[in-house]
Amino acid sequence: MEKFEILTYPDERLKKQSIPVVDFGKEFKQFVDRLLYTMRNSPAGVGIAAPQVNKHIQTIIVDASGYKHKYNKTNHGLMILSNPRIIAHDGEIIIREGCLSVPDYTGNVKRHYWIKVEAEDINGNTITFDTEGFEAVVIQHEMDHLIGKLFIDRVASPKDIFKRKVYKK
Amino acid sequence: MKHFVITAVGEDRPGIVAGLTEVLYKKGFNIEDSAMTRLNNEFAVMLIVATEEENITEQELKESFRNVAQEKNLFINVRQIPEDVFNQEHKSGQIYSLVVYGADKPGIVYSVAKLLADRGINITDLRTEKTPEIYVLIAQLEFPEGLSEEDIQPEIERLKGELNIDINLEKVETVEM
Repeated sequence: MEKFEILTYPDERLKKQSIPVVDFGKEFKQFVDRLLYTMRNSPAGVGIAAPQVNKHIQTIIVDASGYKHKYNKTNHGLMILSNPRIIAHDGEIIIREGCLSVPDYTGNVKRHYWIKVEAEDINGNTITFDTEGFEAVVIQHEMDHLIGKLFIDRVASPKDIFKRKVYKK
Repeated sequence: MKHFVITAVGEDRPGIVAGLTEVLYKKGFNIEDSAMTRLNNEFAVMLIVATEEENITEQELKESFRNVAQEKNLFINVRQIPEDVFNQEHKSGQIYSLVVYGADKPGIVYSVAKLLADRGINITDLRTEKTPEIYVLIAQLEFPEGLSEEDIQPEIERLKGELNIDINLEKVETVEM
């Protein structure tokens, strides 16, 4: 399988809104397979959003299971979520985020600590779950891509954005 | 390419940044890096600028700020950066964030900075704030390769006791998403 090319800022296509997924058929599943492959073969590889590979549909993939982080206390493993909605949230958390689409910078971003999410699974069945900490941050980061937002949009102050000298490929 | 570091300080008022950057823009300079902030009622500007004009000197660049310096009452300094210094690559280990706070007393910044310097830890950013009751220091640190948090924890504990302050050192982890 071949990796998708990941769009990087200032590519305008990262700022586009994605449309809801309605057809969960074969073509969609093939796309998801290749999106997952792209995520697995990228640094860290904890999350990816369809628009990052220039497919403007509301699908994100998250897998926090393999990542050691002090806020990663509980996670659901691999999740393929379409049309995700945050239906409840609580608390705040700040993590230093990096993004495959913004390779030159990292930033401290404030997110909800706990979220309750409703979404469609790979077969289009609606599921509901709640999560917290690290996994909740990754989901919020990926969901931002669906509305054309990057972590830089969420950085609170000039002291919270950092230039990276070398980006590990 | 030529690079300069420019510093400017003066009583805060609107138009300082616009005045300085207008000069740079008209001369075709690029701002490569900058920090500009208000400390109490003073506004301080630090700029690293680049130009393709190979003939310009420190003195000429400083001269071009004469009007804005007079108008805004700014103290301006210009220094050329040797190209080999500008292009030097930084080799650093892990990045940490440091927060120190406690009742104000003389020597907090010095004691903390001394502890870090003795271990070869580089401060890349530091800010302090003070209210009548509490002094706060926030810094970003680059540890030399091979040094970890545990190595300096005993010294931090000692300083906490000596100055009766709180010190929190946290590893900065960036997560690629």
